[in-house]
Amino acid sequence: MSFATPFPWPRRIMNDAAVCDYCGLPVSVKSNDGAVHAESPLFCCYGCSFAARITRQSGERGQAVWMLTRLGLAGFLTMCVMMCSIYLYGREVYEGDGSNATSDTIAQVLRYASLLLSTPVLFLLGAPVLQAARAQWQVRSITTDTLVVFGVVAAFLYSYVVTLRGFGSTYYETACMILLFMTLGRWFEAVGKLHAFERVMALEKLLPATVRVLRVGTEMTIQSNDIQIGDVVHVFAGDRLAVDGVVERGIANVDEQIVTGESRSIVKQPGGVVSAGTLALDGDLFVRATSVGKETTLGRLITLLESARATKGRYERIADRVAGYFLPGTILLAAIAAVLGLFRAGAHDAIMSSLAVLLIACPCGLGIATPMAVWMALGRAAAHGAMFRSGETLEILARVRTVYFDKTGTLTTGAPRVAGTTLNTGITLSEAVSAAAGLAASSRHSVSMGLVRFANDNGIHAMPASCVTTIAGRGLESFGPLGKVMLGNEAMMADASMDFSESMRAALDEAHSSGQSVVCLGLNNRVQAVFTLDEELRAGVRDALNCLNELGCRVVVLTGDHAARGRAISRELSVETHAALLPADKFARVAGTSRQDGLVAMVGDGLNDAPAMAAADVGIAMGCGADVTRESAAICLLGNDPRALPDLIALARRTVRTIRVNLFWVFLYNGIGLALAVAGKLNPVVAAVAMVASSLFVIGNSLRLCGPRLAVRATDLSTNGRSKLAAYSSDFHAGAPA
Amino acid sequence: MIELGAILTGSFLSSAHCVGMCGGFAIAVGASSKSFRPMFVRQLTYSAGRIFTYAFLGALGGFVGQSLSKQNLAFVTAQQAFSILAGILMILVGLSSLGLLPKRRKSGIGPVGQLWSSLFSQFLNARGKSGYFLAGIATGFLPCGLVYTFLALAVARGNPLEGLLWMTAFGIGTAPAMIAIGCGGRTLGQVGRIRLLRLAALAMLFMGGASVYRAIPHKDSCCSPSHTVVSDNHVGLTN
Repeated sequence: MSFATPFPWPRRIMNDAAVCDYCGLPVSVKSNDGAVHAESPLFCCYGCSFAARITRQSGERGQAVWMLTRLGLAGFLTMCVMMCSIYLYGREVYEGDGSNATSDTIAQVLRYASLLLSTPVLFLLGAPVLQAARAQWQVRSITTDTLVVFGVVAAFLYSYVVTLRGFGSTYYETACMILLFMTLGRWFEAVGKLHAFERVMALEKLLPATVRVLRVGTEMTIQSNDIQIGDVVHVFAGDRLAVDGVVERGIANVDEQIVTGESRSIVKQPGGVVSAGTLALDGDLFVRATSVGKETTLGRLITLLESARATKGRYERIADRVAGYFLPGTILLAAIAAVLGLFRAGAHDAIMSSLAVLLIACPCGLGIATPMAVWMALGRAAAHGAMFRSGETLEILARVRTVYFDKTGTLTTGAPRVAGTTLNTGITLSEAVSAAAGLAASSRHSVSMGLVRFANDNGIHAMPASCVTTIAGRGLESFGPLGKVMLGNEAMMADASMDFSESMRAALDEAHSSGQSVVCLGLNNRVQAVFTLDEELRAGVRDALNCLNELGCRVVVLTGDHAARGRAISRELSVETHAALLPADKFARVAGTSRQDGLVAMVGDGLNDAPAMAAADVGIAMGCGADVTRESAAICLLGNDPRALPDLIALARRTVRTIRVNLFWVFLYNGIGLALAVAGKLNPVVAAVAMVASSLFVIGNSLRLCGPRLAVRATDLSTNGRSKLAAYSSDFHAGAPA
Repeated sequence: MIELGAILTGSFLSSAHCVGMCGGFAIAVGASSKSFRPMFVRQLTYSAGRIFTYAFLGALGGFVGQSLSKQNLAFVTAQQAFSILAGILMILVGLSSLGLLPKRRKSGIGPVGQLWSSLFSQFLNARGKSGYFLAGIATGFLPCGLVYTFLALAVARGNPLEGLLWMTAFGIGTAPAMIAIGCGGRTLGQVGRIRLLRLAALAMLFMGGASVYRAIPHKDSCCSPSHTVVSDNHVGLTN
């Protein structure tokens, strides 16, 4: 891309909302009245306008073909001119002045041939650039492309004079090659940018373009944009939903991975709530739309991505600032080179040197160095269920060295799990569990659900309980064939004067010391069983924490649980844990962390730990599902797999590394090239080729971010963690988190 | 002239490789036409485009050879070095066709290749009369081991005109097979194809060996490339 640098004339109103009609890059539009003129297409650079004309859709097919043929024809003619020049150059350099009349005649014929062959190239490729330059001029800006074309015309005119005079060096091939490579380079950049853009916006493509709706008793096909709230949409098996809504008729398995991150499909039947973007797998559904367009779940995801893409990060701002000085600087340097060349060897050297300066100084790579890499990474992360609020978040995440975890709902599922059972003499495990589960089945309390799950997992049939009453803050009791059965905490048992045996008492003490919660089963006036419960760790938590350590991050767990439980977690996961913290304490701890070694991330569910997340440099919310707009989180993970975190950090670091390599390359290349060009040591053709090579390098380097491996480079890791991280990294890619 | 014949024969025999790599493009060029004549004309145009690119590359290669031959390398001349390089490349191509080399992991064409093919496919889709010629020109630039091998020979000639001729001969040699496949010519059966590939591989091995042998200075130095170049130059100009 080339930079449009505004003249230092009175500042116009900027409209940052405008984007390029081809690649989607934000364009600053400056016009006299400050309004965006919607009737004419808007492009960020010459490459995009060229590419758009080539790929123009139906109706303008002829125009597209002509644009392409124009390029091909110019290529063919340039090759012919090159062949003529090779002969002329070889003769000049290797045969010296010892040439005869025949070879002089041949040379003169070839000069005229070059003139004839290169004139069309000038019109074929130079004219569109000037046309684009005219449009730029109208909004008071010029580009280096325009200057290059003027340089090319100068080289051409000089060669024309030489041809008429019949001796000297011609530069037709230089003029042609520069135009050809400039156009090719711009086109490649535009295509590369479009590729990156499509990568980010892949979600948008999930929505069907047309849908079948029921209106006035008949089923008709309409555009997705025209759906109204209240319409009943017929979704066929294998189709994605275009709206959020409620199922009216039909049953189908629905794959909700796109919004929940869960790879399991869920059965939806009448009354069930479905989201846009999800996939009806095996049956037709009739869905009444409750929200449409940008208000749908997927619409919100897309809006989030769009805004993430549009924000400029630190590196992009640096690139922009440098580019601002480019045009005046380049013109100055080209002028210096021209003067130097004029004194050194005459007019032809002046033209060639200043052309080389203009070409090599063109900051093509600079403009795409950052957005290409960031977009690739955003797209990659989105494809794996991680939504970034802005591109800058990627850069911040790369610098994170301390990761705070909220415990409940983040490291653990939040659902209690039966960890141990202590039985009184005279009762079997299945009897105790059967009675407890029978009672628990009537309650929606998380502890009750844990007990029922435990029974199911162990294949124990719950004994149905009747006349269950709930005693607030205590537990449940029922009267049945076994008599009075109680399930509840210690206080409930004490209130009912249940008898604690020695072993029961010991089990309770042990549970208290390790911070676990307990449920007692009371039967026949005695406590018959003590169930100890703890929270179930999410799959992959240990791996995730280990890998964060390997990535050089300090991991700290913050929890509101009492100290004993905190110690237990600390032991179990071998991780620094701070317990008994209120939300305000968590906030203070995160805010008070030293940023000396790196930035701080807070991982939580984005609800009760929102203040702490806001205090961190990056807030990461897990299990967002459809609710990606949790304000405190800069990154929303749709799913619940904590192993996504090290992968994301590695991806962010790799992205920043890519950006740095891109910028380093571009600056190095421009610096060395400029020095050579000003000194008159750089052939303009070489400069033009180097310019395209530089852009291709930047594009290629950025495309590597969407290569087969998400992240994880050997340099990120110490040796022992490498294989482990690679192993579950591959799980992550396979989309099958264990 | 004998060498031009050898190039023609060599490239004709190795064109099984071209059909394998670029046959799909030739078929795409002829895809929409049903009768033979227009299809044949299209294929000719397409191949002419390819040959033009090869000729261009040959001239460029010859020019590079010319520039290099003015600089003395330590032990051998630049031409000898390129003859040896070409010979080694041919032997490698031959050996790999015979399946005697470990297979390289397929890694796709890479991002730059993707961009090039995006340009290329546009040409194939632009069905003007010139579209096929331009598609041919673009095909000629696709990275290809065989082209580089013969290009190394062109560089070894050390003269743009000869480089151009050599690569033109190479292009013409590859044309019959490409035109045949593009016109819907039935490919040989499995056995026939394997035999043809073997033959091509043997031809490559032979040519590679000859190229290396010629480049190494012998006591009887009449066979060394520098002599050959001079005499060929002479022949070329007087003819």
